[in-house]
Formats: sequence, structure tokens, C-alpha cells
Amino acid sequence: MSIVSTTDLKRVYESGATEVKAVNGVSLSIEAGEFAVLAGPSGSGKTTLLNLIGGLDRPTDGSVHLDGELLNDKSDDELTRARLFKIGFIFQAYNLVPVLSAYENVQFILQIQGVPDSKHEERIMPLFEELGLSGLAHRRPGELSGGQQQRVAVARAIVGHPSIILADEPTANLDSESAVALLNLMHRLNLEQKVTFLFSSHDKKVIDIAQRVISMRDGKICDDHKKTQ
Amino acid sequence: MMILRIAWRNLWRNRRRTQLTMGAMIFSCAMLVFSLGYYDGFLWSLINNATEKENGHVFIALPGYYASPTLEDACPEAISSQIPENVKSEIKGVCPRLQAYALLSCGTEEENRTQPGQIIAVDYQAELANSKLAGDIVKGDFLTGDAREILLGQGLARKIRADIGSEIIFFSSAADGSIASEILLVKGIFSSGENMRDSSLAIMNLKAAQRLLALEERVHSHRLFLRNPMQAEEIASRLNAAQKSLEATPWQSIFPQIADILKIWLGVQLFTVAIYYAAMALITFNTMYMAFLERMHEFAVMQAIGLTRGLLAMLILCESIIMATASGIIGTAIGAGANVVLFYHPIDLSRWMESITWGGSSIQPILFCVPSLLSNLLPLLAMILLGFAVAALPTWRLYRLKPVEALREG
Repeated sequence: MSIVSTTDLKRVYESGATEVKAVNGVSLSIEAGEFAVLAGPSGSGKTTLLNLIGGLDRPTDGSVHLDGELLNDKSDDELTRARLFKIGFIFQAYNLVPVLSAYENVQFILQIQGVPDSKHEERIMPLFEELGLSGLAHRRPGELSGGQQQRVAVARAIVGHPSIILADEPTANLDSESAVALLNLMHRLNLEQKVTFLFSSHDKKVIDIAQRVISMRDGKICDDHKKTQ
Repeated sequence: MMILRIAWRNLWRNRRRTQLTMGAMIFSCAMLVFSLGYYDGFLWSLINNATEKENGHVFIALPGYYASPTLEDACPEAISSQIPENVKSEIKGVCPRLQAYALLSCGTEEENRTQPGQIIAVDYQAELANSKLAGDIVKGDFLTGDAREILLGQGLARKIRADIGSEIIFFSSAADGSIASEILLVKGIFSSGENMRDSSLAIMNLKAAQRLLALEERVHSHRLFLRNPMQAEEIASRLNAAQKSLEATPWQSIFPQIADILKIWLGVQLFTVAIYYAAMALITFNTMYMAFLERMHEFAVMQAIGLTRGLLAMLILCESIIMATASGIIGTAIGAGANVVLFYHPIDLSRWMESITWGGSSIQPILFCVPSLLSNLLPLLAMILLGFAVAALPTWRLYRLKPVEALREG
């Protein structure tokens, strides 16, 4: 079943008199349970494509469907709601709310989703256990290492049971050891809980672990292959 | 709830900045509450000085007496039956008075010193309870009810060289045409701060004056002291509507200049609030806007993970309102506290300043404040409104924020 599909997707930026075609006619489909990566050099359009799929940016042309719903027609607030319930984001710079503890950062999503308070702990604590964050629940982001912060970001991304996790260069700010640990963690979530992941990365470690590698260059998909297990 | 928690914690992210901003807001609010309390105190003193020594809040006499008083136009001393019940409950006290002119002499036959003077005859107990006459005594004592005692204005006493215990020969004509004369003893000397008044006025007991002037059980006027002086016009109207034999005149008609000030008072207060808070708004706005600009990336992230613009706007508003409300409450408490202290313990500045006569009243050099609900609530409410106002631009910017651009820039 297709979670995300794009058809002839284009995103053109105006830069003075010149036009930059950041995404130039991308048609793509991500199936449920996939662990895929958008690979390619800087400026190839990976992040722009991820932003379009996540409803953070609007296409110049073409369409994006998420869970069968067309995103193009949605208002800003409808897109925000779609992101809240259907998409989990993981950013390169972790982007946790600095004034909230690790636990509260994750709880925040459940609160705005309207999940009753009584259910929060039973949803969050097993996740923290799984991600090795149990002893860090009450620490604020500033008191956590980069790897720990990114694990909290993963917990935040998956706690709301989204259809897909979009991770933009999630290992770029991590040391090699932390990056591998994080990738293994996300891979396990993918295998055991069937969480769908779509990364954008040029990190070889991410590309190596991904089941599907979608290579981009100059805003276009130049290669798309699935690895055999 | 989480929004409130984030808002509260955000305020303390840059602790020094928040403390400085709140300090400025608290100071501004406290000063405003204090200023309004001081203005109210000033006005209150002006009204009290005008009414409580002379005509009371409502002046009751025979029709036409106030405009052109004569010795013969006296009304009954007992007027209780003519006061409607719905007025009685508003009255704090009544002071009946007689008013006449007399020659006052002091000294021996060889060295006689005589001056014409205005005589006010008062019920000393009613005056002690309601008016400020007794507070003007600078030497000796106030009346005690003895038929022969008299109080002299400081200027008058100086003119006739009288002192406490001096004998004063009172000489006047009574209402029945007979001669009114008596030897009185100076019980006290008063100073009201108004030289004209003090150089010609003498005060004696009502009963003695009624007997001397052949006006038994009659007085020239009744001065009503009300629980709320601002109701004087309404009370006078009710009194005039209830009967025709007496005429009630409110202090607003007697001191129109002071009444005119009152009419524009609320406008003056609002204007003062506006001036204070315009400056305050700029300081607070600067803080809020800087804090907003610093967190554009964070707001974009929040939008990305699913926080709607409405909830983000609420977050900004909460931060602003928390800061403004907390500052408003603390500032109001400080300002109101100062007002209460100066209400019960005014500071006498007469060592450095002199009193001024204006509009039929006197402005005393006293630092005196009146803590009123309006002067406390107005700055507090204005401060909360300020909280909304300074959040307006960041909120507007937020609605125009494109998360993808803010994420890229962050």
C-alpha cells in the first residue's frame, strides 16, 4: 500500500532573474514498511523533496498524496494537522523544544493530538525503554548528548503513530558511533514495528542500511533501487 | 497546559532580559497607581477643603439665602422631618450654623481695639464629628459648649491683640432689632491657611449665638455631610423635590471650578495611563519581538511537528500576558500599598511649600493619596491589555511565517 506518492512533482525557486529547479518532475511512491533513503550530493533536491512530501513546502507543479489524500489542496492549518497525525519529523539539528524535558518533548505530541493524559506514560515509557532513554526522561535537551537528543527526536517522531517518518540528514550532526547506534535503532523499529522511514542523506552509513536507495541529482531521480535482503 | 508550561519556561530562558523588562513594567505600573492615587488624593483634598470647613456637601437654607444671606432669613433648627428617608441613609452628619456680623473689641477703655468680624455659630459636637474646623486650632482649644467661649482667626486675633483667655466684647444687632452684646473669652485661635478668612472670622457656640441674636431654635443653614460627596447633586435634587420650604445647594454649584475638574477627571486619568504605557509598550514590545525573532526557527519546528499557528499564537500571547499580568499585579500591589500608607499617614510638606487658594478651596502642601478601585484597576487592566497589544505584531509575523524558510535559515 502506498503511503506517499508524488506525480511529476516540481519546485522552482526564483533567485533574482534566475530560476532554480530544486525538484524537477519527481514521481515517486513509498510503500508502507519501507526503509528508504533519498541519496545524493548537496543541492540535489533531497531536502526540498522531503519538505514537499511533509507538507512544509508547496509544489510549483505536480501532486503529493499522503495516505491517499492530496496535499496540494490543503490549507496551511490542514497541512499542520496532517503532519501532526500522519508524519513524524526527525531533523538534522534534533530541534527539541529546549525548555521541555525529554519526556515532555515527546508528551507534547500526544497532548496536541488530544490523547488523554492517562495514556501518556504507557505510550512514552516503553518507547523510552526501547530507545535507551529511561534514565534521561527528566533531562532537558541541553543536558543530553547529540545522540541522546536525536533518540528523543525519534521518540517524538514515532510516539504519535504516524504513517511515515521523514528524517532529514538525521546522522549529520552525530559522531560515527552514535550515528550507527541511531540507525540500528531506527532499523529495528522498522523491522519490528513496521514503521515506515524515508531519509534524506548522503551519509554512506544510512545508504548502506537502507532497503531502498533513491538517488537524486539536479532535482531529478537518477536511480531508484531496492536492495535484496 | 503544555503551552502554558512552555510559555512560562520560555520567559526564564533569558532570565536577565525578562527581569529587566518586568522590572520596568512593575515600576511603571506602581508609579501609575501611585500617581492616580495622588491625583485622587489631591482632588479629594480640594473637595474636602472646600466643603468640610464651610458649606458641607449640601447646603440647606431658606430659598434665596445662599445667594443673598440676611440675619432674619433663618430656618428651623430641626429639619429631620423634611428630609426624605432615601436621603437620610446617605447622610453622614448635619452641622447647623448661624452666621452674623459683629464688632469684636479687646482691651481696656484706654486702649480699645475693635474690628468688624464675621461670626459663625456652630454646634461644636456636630462640627467635631463632621467638619475640619477643630483641626485648624493652632493655639488653645476648640469649643466645648460653654456659652462664653469664642475662637478667633489668627489674623483677627493679631489685629485686636487678643490671646487665649482674653475678654472679647461682642456687639451686634439681633434679628428682632434689639442690641446683642456679650463678653466672651478667647478659647482658641485658628488658622485655616486662608489669610482673608483668618483675619475676619470668629466662631462661637450655636446656643449662645441663638440667644444673643434672638434666633432661638433657628439657624441660617444646615450643612449636610454625605457618605459619598460625589452624590451631592443627586441628594440636593431629591431634597428639593421632596419639599419647597428649604433650598438644597450641592457643593458642585458652590464650587463650579472644582466640579468642572471632576467632569474631565476620568479623561485625565485615561490620558495619564496612555502616556505611561505608550513608553512601556515600546520597551515590552522590544523584548517580545526580540524573543520572537530569536525563536523563528523553533516556531518553524513546532509547526513542522504539528503545532497549528493558532496554538503558536496562543504561546506567544501567553508569554506576553503572563509577563504583563504578573508585572501588573506586583506593580499594583506596590503602588496601592504606597497609596494606603499615604492615606493613613500623609506627609506634611508645609516646611517647604505654602498652601494655595484656588477655586474657592485651598490646596494644602500635603502628600496625600487616596487608594481607589479605579486607580488600582485601571493600570492593571491597561497592563494586561498591553500584554495583548505587544503580542500582536509577533503573532501577525507568525501567521506569515513559512516554516520551510525558517527551517532553512535556522
